[in-house]
Amino acid sequence: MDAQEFAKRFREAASVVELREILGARDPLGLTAREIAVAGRAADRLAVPTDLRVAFMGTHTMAPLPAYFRVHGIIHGLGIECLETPYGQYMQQLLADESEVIRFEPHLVMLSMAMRQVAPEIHNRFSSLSPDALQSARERLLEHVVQAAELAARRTSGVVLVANFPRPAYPALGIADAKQPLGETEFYLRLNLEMLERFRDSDRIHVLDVDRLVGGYRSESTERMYFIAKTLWPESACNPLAAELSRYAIAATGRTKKCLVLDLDNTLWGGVVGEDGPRGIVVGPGSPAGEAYEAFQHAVCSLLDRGIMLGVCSKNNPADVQEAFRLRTDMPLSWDDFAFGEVGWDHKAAGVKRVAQALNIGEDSLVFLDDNPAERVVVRGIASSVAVPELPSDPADYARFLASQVFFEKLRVKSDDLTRVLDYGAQQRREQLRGEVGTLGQYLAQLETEVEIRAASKSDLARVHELFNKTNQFNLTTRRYSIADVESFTGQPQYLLGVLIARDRYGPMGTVGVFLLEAEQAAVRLDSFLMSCRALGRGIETTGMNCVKALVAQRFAADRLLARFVPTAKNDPAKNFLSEQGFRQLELGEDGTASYEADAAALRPLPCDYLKVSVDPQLGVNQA
Amino acid sequence: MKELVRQLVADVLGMDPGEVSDELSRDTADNWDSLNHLRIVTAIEQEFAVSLSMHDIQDARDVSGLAEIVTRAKGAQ
Repeated sequence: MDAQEFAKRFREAASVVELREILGARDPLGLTAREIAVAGRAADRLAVPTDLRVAFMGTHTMAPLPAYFRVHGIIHGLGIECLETPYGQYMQQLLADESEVIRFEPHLVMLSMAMRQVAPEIHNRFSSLSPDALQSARERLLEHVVQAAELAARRTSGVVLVANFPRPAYPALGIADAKQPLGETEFYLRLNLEMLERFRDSDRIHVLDVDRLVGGYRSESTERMYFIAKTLWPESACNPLAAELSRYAIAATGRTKKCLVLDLDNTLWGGVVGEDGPRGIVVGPGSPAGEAYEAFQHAVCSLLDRGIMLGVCSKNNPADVQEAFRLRTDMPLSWDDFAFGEVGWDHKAAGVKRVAQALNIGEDSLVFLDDNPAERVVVRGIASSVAVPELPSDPADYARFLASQVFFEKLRVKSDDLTRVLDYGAQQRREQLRGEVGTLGQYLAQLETEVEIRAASKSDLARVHELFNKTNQFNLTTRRYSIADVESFTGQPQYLLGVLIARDRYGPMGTVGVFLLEAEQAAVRLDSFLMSCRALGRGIETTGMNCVKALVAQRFAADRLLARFVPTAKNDPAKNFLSEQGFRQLELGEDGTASYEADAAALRPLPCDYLKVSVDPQLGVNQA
Repeated sequence: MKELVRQLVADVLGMDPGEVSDELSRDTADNWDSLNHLRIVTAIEQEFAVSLSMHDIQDARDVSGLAEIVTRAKGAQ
């Protein structure tokens, strides 16, 4: 599509979905200023609903980045509303009570300071400064950045992204800079490193690596636009910057995909295993193509380290595929790395859907990669919520392409994530066991499930936040709390934020459930109760509710427990939970929202003999 | 060429290309502010594959002016 046609289609787009379709055909990193302008106009005209409010604050003009981010957001299914505060006023904006940014209640705050403005002497005359002066300048800069970022984190409930400082393209002393006691390049590297270290443990404040992101565009002249309008980044760097912001937006809103489903022939290796045989497929050293496929497999393995599951969807004879993985031990990936393999002759959309079912995750949690454009079209057409990126045609580009995708971003990779990937492999073995034993009770007993229930501590907050934002099916109220909200629940006595940690004979399952109680005079309100779907149906949810029941009487000394079920498109599995647990339904709204109540005196724990439960004594209940 | 300039101005300012006359300028169009001016300039640079100088960017105040600096930049290539 040429630029003219593209602009025309945008002007005529009749819906947000259409807008996304037109944009989906474009590489987000290659969007031009014109395309950004027309796409932005179309978004204005169609009044895209807001999912995310983003505040841009800095010492310099942040435009045109907000316009770019908005359009990138549409590509990722996010309606983004931007606020750019007047440049240089971020401290005033953050300190004043009724300022624009406070009233805006941003979900994401980007803070950017230009070295030429916050420390002009460093930018203008680096080589004239003594090591002592440089040292104190660095300390002062770091303190200012920390102060502003922490203020933003305190005064808003958003995720704060603070830009680091891009190294100069040409140090003042030229190549001799590297031999200075504290050279210009080293100054920036150290400052950026100190920022990284300072915010490493924070869940709210993150360093946006502008140095890396604009690095590739360093050779371009940016001065012109700075002199005219105090714009810091070259227009061409706005796409990679917007893409990076999208990563944070996806992670912070829990839109992270859970599983990568891969085709095999000519995607994971060169050739067709059914024709070329296990020894004939190309992967590994010896040929450029083999090296490319090997590099791609390494990139796929890295996703495992991130806690992303892998699946296979391939048209092949299962025996050929098994044979290939058995014989080709030189491949970085082994068959055990895949949580589920769908190998057969059914069409790919059906196969991909079966992967989602087998892993008990939504189709919108899947990304599908296939070298064959026709298969991609089939999957897009029939399983439309699966993300199907346009894999480049050259295998040499596969690894980089996968690494550049925004789907699998998390704000932090935790040891829990890795446990969970292993856990899905164990899930397959559990299913196997289910086939072998008789009654459900016998099966559950053989799983030897152990559940630990305790109040959430600081180290749980990131996972709790993730569960609040990602749990769709077994979720009574589907409240999407921010990190700041979650943090605040742990500090106030009227709240109790509880977590359920489970393990069984196949290994640890990590934190699988969360409940939030709020004391209201003589009653306790069950604000949230949610359970990861892979832990469902084995009594863990009942042990959680048993504990909640005990807490009402023993910890809160309350008369009544109030609860609600708020229906969504996905939480049907939780619909009857409250009545099953002995609650009385009080009201049923037209939208299906139901309120429930139970008297503390009448609350009885339900038996779960096949589970071993330990409740932290600090919760103040005898038993659950 | 002027036609494309006209379209780019229209796209950035959110107008119909038919409404963009040669005389439409930073003084007469409501939202042709300095930021939109830079967006127009960047769009022109990308579409025509030219690089405009700071002086030219500031000098060009209307559609005709923009077309002139593009011609000049093209000639210098």
